[in-house]
Amino acid sequence: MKIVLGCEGQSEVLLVLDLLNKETLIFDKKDILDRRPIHFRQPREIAPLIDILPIEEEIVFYRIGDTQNDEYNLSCLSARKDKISVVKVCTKPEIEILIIINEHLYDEYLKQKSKMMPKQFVKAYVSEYTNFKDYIENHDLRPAIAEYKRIKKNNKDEIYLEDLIKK
Amino acid sequence: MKLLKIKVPSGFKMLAKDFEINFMTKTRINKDAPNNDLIELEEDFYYPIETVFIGKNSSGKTTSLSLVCAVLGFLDSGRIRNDFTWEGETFELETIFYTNGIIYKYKGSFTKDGNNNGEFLIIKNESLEKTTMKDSYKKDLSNAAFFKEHGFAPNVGMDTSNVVRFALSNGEFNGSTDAIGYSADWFGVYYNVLGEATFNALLHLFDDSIESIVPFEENGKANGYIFRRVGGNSPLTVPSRYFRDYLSAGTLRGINLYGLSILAFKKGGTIVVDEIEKSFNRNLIENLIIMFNDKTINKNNASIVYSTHYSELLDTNNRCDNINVLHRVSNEITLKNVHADYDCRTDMLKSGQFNQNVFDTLINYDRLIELKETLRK
Repeated sequence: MKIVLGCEGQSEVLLVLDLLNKETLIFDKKDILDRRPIHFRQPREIAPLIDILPIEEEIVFYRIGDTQNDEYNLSCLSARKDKISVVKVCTKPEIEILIIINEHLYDEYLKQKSKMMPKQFVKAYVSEYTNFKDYIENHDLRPAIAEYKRIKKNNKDEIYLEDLIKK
Repeated sequence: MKLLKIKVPSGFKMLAKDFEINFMTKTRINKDAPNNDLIELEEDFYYPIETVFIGKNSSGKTTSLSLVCAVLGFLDSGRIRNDFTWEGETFELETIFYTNGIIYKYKGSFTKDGNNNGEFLIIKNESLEKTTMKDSYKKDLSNAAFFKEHGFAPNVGMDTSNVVRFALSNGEFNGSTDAIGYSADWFGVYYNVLGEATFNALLHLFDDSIESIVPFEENGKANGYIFRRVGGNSPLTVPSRYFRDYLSAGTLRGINLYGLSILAFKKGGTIVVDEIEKSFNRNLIENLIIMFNDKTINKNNASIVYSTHYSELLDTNNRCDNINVLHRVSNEITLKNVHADYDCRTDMLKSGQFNQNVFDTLINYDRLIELKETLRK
């Protein structure tokens, strides 16, 4: 089986890569397609890599991102349609919500959320924040990922980043 | 003459024991359909115009096609060149071919003898049997009853077989583009056999800046070509070996590929092309295949055997029993047939299935990751 860690944004890639490198994900690196999280919107963008897998290989897409409304178009992989499944991993409203939780600013954010998105809030309220990459290099976001699952309610067909982390 | 089967029971390069190429149709033929992609050798006895080989790099496509070329050449000349196989090697060969209403089965063994300084392989253990097609025979002739051809004189350790007497090709043309791909050596043959009008049309197809190329003889010997560009000044006399300075590699190879094909259209026969896409865009090849399947052009039942990495070419006809997939595992080359050995889906284009690795013909995922990991370090 191959796991596709499909990230909708570069920040999701950085976070998942960090978790992967710290061996905190439930997956074995060798089972992950290209051994890394990959930024793409639709599977067509990475089809050449999937195409070279044995035809009988099971493939599970973990679609990691904040917007899960549109579905993956899997027509480019139609010969494998019986072998493919998609799991939605929702990080709404934005992945930066994890920094807000990590900085214990979630209550403050709730007061401001009608005026600003998490990314703007982080820039305004977290003084040491310069960019997502530097932040996650200096902070362990696993407690925030766990807390996110506790306080947020995703749709029924969506799981949480916490579900991908070893217990 | 059409090759129906080639089998190598043992001993040729990396081919697996009993490696077999079956050129015959393997599916039921709808006689009410146009069947433009088939040759009807006899009533209810069909033969595909195209035979295709696909596979990864180093899967054995070139080895297989060189075997087809060698067998065609052998049936034409009775000989196989000494450089065809490895030093000290002996391989067994069986081939079944059809000519003039008779199906022949030939067997022989071929040796590259280190002590033999000759140009051709030494032939031993020859036999020739024959039969005629019967309704009761299976499509692969596995239940066919063959009888000894009493007129055949087996070779006793010489380098030329008597089989040519039976594999009468009636002047048909069997050839491969690989020997002449990027040269102008055959331009004189095309000019003389196809005629000036067809030859010029062929030149213009590939390079419309060429006005004409006419063979030039000196003291009764071919000595190059008189070459004119459209709107050019005086014509040039160009020796064959210098044509690469005047024509692109694609033009040279294109003229040869189409030229050999047109020779086969005129005379019948089989063209063998390794990596047919080399130097060409896809459309040019697709149009050549359409010409092979056009009985108003291919009037003498020419057939083409080719290897390709262009998956879309697989969609140019409706058949899948003429597509062979080669695999090399360790040091052994094996052949599978898309119809016989795969669950080929009819709701998807063959190219789509090829591109999605249904036939295991793409590069190896693990080897690619291994390379990428070394680059990431």
